[in-house]
Amino acid sequence: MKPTTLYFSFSKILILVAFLFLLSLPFYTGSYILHVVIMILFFGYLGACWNILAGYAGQISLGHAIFLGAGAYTSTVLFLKAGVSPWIGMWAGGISGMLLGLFVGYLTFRYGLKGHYFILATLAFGAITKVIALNVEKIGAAQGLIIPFKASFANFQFVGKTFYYYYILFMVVGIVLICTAIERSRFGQILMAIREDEDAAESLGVNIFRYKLFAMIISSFLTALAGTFYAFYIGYIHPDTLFTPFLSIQITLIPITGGMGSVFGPIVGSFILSPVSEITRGFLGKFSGLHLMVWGLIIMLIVILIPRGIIVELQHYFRKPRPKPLERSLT
Amino acid sequence: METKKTIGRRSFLEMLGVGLGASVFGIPRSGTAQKKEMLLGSILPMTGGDPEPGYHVFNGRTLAVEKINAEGGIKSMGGAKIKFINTDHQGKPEVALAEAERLATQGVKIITCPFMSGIALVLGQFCEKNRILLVLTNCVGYELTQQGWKYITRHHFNNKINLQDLFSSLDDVQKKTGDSIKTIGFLYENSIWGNTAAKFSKEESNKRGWKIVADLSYPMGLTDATMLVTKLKVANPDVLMSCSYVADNILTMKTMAEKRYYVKSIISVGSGMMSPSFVTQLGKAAEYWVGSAPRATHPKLPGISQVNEAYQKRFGHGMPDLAMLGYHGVMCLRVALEMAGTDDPDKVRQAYSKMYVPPGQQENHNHYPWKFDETGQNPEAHCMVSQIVDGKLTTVWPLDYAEKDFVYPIPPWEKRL
Amino acid sequence: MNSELLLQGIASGLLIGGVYALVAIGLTLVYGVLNIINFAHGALLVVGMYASYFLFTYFGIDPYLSVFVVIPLLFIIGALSQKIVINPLMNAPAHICVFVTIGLGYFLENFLAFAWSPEYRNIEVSYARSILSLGEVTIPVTRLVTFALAVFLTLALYLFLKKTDIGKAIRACAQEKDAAVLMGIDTKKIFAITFGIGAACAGAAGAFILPFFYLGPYVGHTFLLTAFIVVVFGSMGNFWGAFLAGLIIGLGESIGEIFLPSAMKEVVSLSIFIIVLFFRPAGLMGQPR
Repeated sequence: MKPTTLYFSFSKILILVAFLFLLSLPFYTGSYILHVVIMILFFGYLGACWNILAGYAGQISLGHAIFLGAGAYTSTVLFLKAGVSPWIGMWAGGISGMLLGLFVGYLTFRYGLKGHYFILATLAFGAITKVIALNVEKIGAAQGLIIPFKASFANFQFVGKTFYYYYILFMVVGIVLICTAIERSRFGQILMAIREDEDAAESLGVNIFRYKLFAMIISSFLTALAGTFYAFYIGYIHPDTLFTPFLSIQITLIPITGGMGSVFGPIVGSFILSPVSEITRGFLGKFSGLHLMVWGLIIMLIVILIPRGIIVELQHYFRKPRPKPLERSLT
Repeated sequence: METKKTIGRRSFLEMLGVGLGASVFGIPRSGTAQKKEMLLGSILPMTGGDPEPGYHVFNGRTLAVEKINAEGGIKSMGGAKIKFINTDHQGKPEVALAEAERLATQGVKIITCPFMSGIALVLGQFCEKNRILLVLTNCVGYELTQQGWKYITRHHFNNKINLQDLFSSLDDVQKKTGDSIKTIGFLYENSIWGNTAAKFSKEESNKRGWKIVADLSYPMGLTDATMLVTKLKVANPDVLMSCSYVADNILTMKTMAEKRYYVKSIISVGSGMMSPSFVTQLGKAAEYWVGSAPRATHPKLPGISQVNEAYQKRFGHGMPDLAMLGYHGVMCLRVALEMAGTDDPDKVRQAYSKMYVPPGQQENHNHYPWKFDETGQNPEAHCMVSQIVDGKLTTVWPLDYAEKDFVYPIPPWEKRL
Repeated sequence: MNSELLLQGIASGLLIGGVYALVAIGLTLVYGVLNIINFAHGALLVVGMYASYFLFTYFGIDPYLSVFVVIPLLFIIGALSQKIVINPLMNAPAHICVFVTIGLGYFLENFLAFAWSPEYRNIEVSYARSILSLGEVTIPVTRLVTFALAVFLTLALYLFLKKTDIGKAIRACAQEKDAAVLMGIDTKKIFAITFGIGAACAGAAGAFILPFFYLGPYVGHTFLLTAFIVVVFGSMGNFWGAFLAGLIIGLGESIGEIFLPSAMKEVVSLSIFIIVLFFRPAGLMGQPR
């Protein structure tokens, strides 16, 4: 077998095995491991959402946390103030995230902000949102919002982790399917063309503004959906955790490591980065700053050695041609 | 300062080792099977925004644990030694939860600390859900005991009591000097801590009929405090309530000196500024600031000087107030454990409710007793208000613990610089 | 409105604006030539600050004079960083460099935290309390000196770029990299030098703010976002623009603080930023990038 075929068949089997393993995990692990894996899947999901805008469309956002925050706050406020079940609230959250994305996207793309300008603009939007959130009393301002725990399905609150685990796993499966669909579709192809060379795409008659905006809307909506999950899983939300640039950066590091512009890249990236971060914190955390120093080093190494991310580098190494719309491929 | 990383194997081996050692050296045990070692969990900020306080609390606690174990452990539990599993929450709720989960997996029934109010809220929920007792040893958020939780206790003051005491000290000094206060200004950082301080300050000010002429909140991480201080100058309150983290505090104090901003007294929430190095670094700009900070060198705190000496020997410097809190938290827990004879959270919580330890007994080196109400708060816990005079911290309130008179009003700048 | 507030607002605004300008100058130079946003700029500033702190504490050297050591030190650190960490990525897409500088920033500031603990520190120069009073307005001498030095540094850098050979080579690279190569300029060397100069500027800024600010490993964060705003506002790559923009932003913040609660003061600079990004992304000086 050619190495290429071997790699891609092997990877399909691997994906299947991994999925079955993840599916059965709650049956033989305890609460702690489940929590860790839930967080891994959560960040993998977020990374994949970001990837839609950044990996496929090439627009690097350093402010994605605001969509997560918007989703979290919307559903939480609706629940606390109006008793709206998070099952409904999450869609409201998704929509508010989407509207925020629409706002940011419209302003930035309409005015042709690209490259560095776009990056800085997203940073600025992130910073402003945080300041505003910290100052609006109705949504808890700097106190944050605590969600009193009352286990019930309608409340999206459960004793034990199992339900949360399957839910986030389901979301991850969902985003994988969505990204696969995007990759295979004409829409995705155009996004990638825009990523490669915006001017060329435009000259071919593509309305780049519309496509970029659409990517932004999808990305922000999906990110915001996860906000509700986070709020009701952790039970407490605060602007400093949800609107901080560090969270935005954390989200971006995952696809960067795992592979931008690939379906499984973000998931793989999360499964690699989280343990690395846990281990460095665990062994080196006692020396103030040492583990973050090592972390900085790791980021630099990843970016220098595997700038396109592991999965994409592997793909290129095995010289698979870029997936065409008609090709059935999971990677 | 260790952080337990590997679950199970490492701690199992350690427990095995301790167990073997204990049986070899024959630690007496009662008839029923008892743990040789009692595991307690600790979740502190060892990194992230403000790691220094976590460090002091940790040391204070370590001293207490070593003393307890040297004296034979928890006698009602067959001499079980206390061992803390120490973790770092990095200032992030999901990390705090991960650490809590891990501790729970290891069978920990009691967790102490977290220090930051936001994290404490998340942990409080977790502990309440999972029947784990959360023992706050240095977390002043008032809201924590207002959630209706059962599995939470706090032996020290919360920020409501803190402000009540600071204001009471002003009452007393007004009476003494006859110089009455009519107006007050607030300067505070705008997160949960500062906002709560402002809220209680408003209550206390309204009670006394003092007019609030300045209400200035600011985002942490100032580059320039000049406008804030100018606004204060223009508003000209008689006294100022300040609630800031250390860095901003430094900047504000310096700016006040630069602008020669005059106010009759400044009461400060938060003890970071009370650390000795802080005082020497700021020199004259720090003079006359008032805050709540018990001192391990106070002559009237029963028995504290021996503790301070032991601390000095162990860590190379005098015991800061945060370490005192950590120390007392563990000692108070010891009393509860002795009373309960088990680490079952329900029984320990009951023990807390029944507890009454007057000052000077059972390692309570405070000026108030240990007792707990149904919310888990110690209603008799109070602050010791201190003032920086001649570069040194001196206690000025409560009056029977005052070492020096509360300097009020502050002398004008010409006499200070 | 109170005249003291207004006048003090203007004075303080200009003074802090000078600081922002100082911090932004190195950043804009690096962007102009290498086309990267250096997220490690804040960390480099703090490294300079620590160096200055130690020189003061152990050798009694005044922070303003310490620049003679800090500048070469930071230049070396900067040039080395560029060679080792950034050079391999010069041909990669823009965002990759962003991440590498983020990593570099984490590394540097946490190195400081690890090596010298995250405690806050403070120095007191003999003239720390000296002020100039113009009526009700107080101007601390330290901030005034920093402002003057900011002007001086900008001027010095400008002349350097205009008159010296290296300076001209740097400008050539900024304008047209490929043509510069064709002209025989060793672009790799120029990039390293430029990054070194940018780092040196950051370090100098750190030394200059030490007399009136506090020291801590993460202090750079306080200034970094504002520095980005100043750079964009002043036209990326243009430093008189950065200087002017710094002053305007400083003024805006200070005066804004009179009317808005201080908690919202970040909103002023951020709003200016967003407006500039949309309506005049080329910035004050109008040179598109």
